[in-house]
Parts: sequence; structure tokens; C-alpha cells
Amino acid sequence: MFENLMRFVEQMGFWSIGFPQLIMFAISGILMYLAIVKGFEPLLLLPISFGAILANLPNSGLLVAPVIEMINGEPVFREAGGLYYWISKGIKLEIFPPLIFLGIGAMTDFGPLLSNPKTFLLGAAAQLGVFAAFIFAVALGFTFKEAASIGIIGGADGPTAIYLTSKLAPHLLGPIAVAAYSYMALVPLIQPPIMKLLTTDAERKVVMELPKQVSKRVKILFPIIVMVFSILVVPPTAPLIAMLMGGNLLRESGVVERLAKMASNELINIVTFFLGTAVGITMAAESFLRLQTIFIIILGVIAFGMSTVGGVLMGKIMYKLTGGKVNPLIGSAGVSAVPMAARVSHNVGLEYNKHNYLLMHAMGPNVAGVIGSAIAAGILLAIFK
Amino acid sequence: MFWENILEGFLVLIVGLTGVLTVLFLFYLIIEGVNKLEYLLVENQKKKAERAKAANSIVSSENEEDLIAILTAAASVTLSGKIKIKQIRFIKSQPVSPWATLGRMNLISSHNIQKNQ
Repeated sequence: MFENLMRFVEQMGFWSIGFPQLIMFAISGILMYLAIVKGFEPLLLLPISFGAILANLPNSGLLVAPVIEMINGEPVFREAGGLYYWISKGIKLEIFPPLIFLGIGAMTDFGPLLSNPKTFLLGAAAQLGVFAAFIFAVALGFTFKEAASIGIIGGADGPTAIYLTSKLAPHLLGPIAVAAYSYMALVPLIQPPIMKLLTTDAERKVVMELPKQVSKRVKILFPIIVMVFSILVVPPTAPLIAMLMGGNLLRESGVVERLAKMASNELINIVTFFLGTAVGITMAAESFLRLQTIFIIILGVIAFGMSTVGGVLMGKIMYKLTGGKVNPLIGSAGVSAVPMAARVSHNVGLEYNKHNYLLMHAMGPNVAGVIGSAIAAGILLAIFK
Repeated sequence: MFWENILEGFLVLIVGLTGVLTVLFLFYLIIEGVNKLEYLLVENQKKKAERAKAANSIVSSENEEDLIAILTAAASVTLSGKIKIKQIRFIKSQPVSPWATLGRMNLISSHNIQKNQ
């Protein structure tokens, strides 16, 4: 009896908690604080921080692999394996990020983009940060695959970053996801100084023409066209683009309201929790507390900043080419981070002209950025996979 | 090795960014084309509707002239003299519901109409 009691006491996790785990609890606490008190991307940061606490609780067995024996050529489970061993398969088998994209597609109105398709170019230029951060990461000694995963932070699209990293550098999943979601929440702080630095007063005051109405027929054709062409040109982007456009087709067709509601509510909510906690659970102290993590955090800011630069510069080119009809501030919204980046463009525009409502114009490049980052991820996959 | 990697990085930047720009530029062209087609389609439908409306009005004005001629002829035969039609007023026929028709038939059949011997 005494021996059993001793074994029970020995199994307690207290004895295995070291200084690194305590640091990780502190980091998780900060992330939780940012999510709950400051409202920074709470939908993802809260599950990630929760998962990070779980990851650093010793002896939980949540990630233990199952023990399978082959008996007479048939696999027999001796140990079922930890709960998160199985839930994490949702990332490893590329299921969760595309499912999130299905929900995003069902929630996204591509109308502003369709009424002004020129803004596709802003969404494309705002991928500059992805490739610029890639070069910086290579310079810091990361491998090409790791650098590509770090660069995609500049796409400001969480599911895309998780998708690409899980394929190219799964050991960096935790820091990259944390950096991506943290910086997405910090877009109102990162972008305005760059936007103001690159634009003149006259450019910021440009009032754009009202967007045209888009017919239902075009809205239905759009997801089909984008899906077909994206997959034909960049096949590795198929899972993300197919789900994004599939979700949008559910929404725009108007005949499967129940499915559209399922994708944009129940499905995305469930998957978001499992995706967040499955990412968080990769944040064990031994893999997270490294110099690499600090580099990733720094490179993440560079990626976001350079993407903003790319979008605004393309906005300036369009301003010149259209004879001052395009406000370059909407270019920064091309970094994706829907709808935060569009709101930032709108708010900066309001500072210089109180009657200038840029929000709807900025939504065009904003949703183009979602497609752009998925294409960028597809290109990186095509090069490095 | 370091500079080789950086050079390769720049190559990835050029290929990647050009790739994204090309694909999204392609989408811009396609959507612009679809929007133009849609505009032409809507305009075509509008023109067709206008043409149909104009044709209807011609037909109805032709019908009106015929009707005036018939009415004038009938009046001159009946009154057997030189007449001058001062005004003809058309009352647009309203769509009649079957309930109203049935009601009127009931009302008419309830009257005892005797034939003149």
C-alpha cells in the first residue's frame, strides 16, 4: 500500500516542472492576458495559450503516440495514444487549415474586390513581405524550408501560415503561429507609421468613387473561376483555395443557406478551437525557448512591415496611373488580416479627411490579400516541397 | 555559401512575387472581362426590353387608329348623316378575376329579362 502511495506521489507532475516550464507558463499567461484583456485575436490566441499550458504540464500523456502491435498481420492497439496525439493529426494531415478556409470563404463578401478588380494587384504586391522576410531568414541561417515558413507570416493569414509550416517546418509551428496571430492583432500599431511615411498629404486625402454594384451572376462565377485558375497555375495551393472558394460558393449561390451557416459558424468555431490548442500544444519549453523563436518574432515584424510597404507602393503606382483616383492608403489592406487591415486604412484616411470613407474600398485589397497569401504559400510549396 | 544562399533567396523573391502578381493580374483581367460581359448582357437586355416596349406602343397606336375609324363608320351609319367625332376616350380594361366574373354572372342571371315580342 505504501509503495503504491509512493508511486502515486512520484507520478505527480510537480517534480518534473523546471525553470523552462515556468517561463512557458509565464509566456502563456502573457498571451492569455493579451487575448482576454486586450482582445488581441482572442479566437486563436486564447486556445493557443491554453494549449501551451497543457504542453508544459509534465506527464500528461496528451501527446503520447499509440502503441500498436501487429498480431497475425492485424494491427492491435495496446495503448490508445494521447488525446492531442490524435487532435494534432488535424494539422499534420492538412485538415484544419483548409476547413478554416471553408468557413472564411462562407463569411467573405468578395463584392468590393469584384466591383474594383484592380485591387487584386494591391493584394499581390502586399506579399512582398513574405519573400523579403524569406531572404532575411536565410541570412540568419535558417534553412530554405524554415525561411519559407517564417516568410509566410507576412501574408498575415493564420491558417495559411499554419498550413505551410506544418508541411515545410513543423518544428517551428508554435513560434510561427504565435508570431502570425500576435502581429495580426498588432496591425493597428505596425501599419500606420509605414503608411504615413510612404504617402503624401494629397494622396491620403483622395476620395475614391463609390464602388459599383456587382451582379449575383458574377459573384457566383467568381469562386469557380478563381478556384479553377489557381489550381491550374499553382496546384499545391489546391486545399486552401478549393475550400475558400467552396465556402464562398455556398454563400453566394443563396440556395444552401444551411450549409453556408454551418461553415461560417459551427464548423469554423469547432475547428478554430482544435486548431488553436493543437498549435499551442507544440509549444513545449524545449522546442519554444530557443534563440530561433526570438529571430522568428523579429522576422515576423519585418514580414508585416515589408508587406505593408509593398501594398502602399503599389497603391502609389495606381494613384499615378489613374490620375489620382486611387487612395494609396488602401494598399496596406492587401496584407490580408481581414478586416483589421481594412479598418486601419479607413482610420488613417479619416485622420486626413473626415468625410473619406475608405472601408469598402480597402475591403477589396483585403480579401485579395487572402487569395494572394494562399497563392504565395502554393508557390513556396511548389519550390521547396 | 552565405552569399549563394542570399542570391538564391533573391531568386525566390523574384520568382515568387512575379508569380503572385501574374496570377492575381490574370484574375484582374478575367474579372474585368466578366464584368464587361455582364455589363453588355444587362445593356442588351435593357435594349431588348426598350425595343419590345416601343414595338408594343406602335402596335397599340395602330390599333387605336383602326378603332377610331371603325367607331366613326359605325356612328355615321347609325346616325345616317354627317357627323363629327369630338372625343374618344379609351378605358383600359383591368384584369378581371374569376371571382368577379362569377359574381357578375350570378347578378345578371338573377334578373328576369323578357324578350320583346
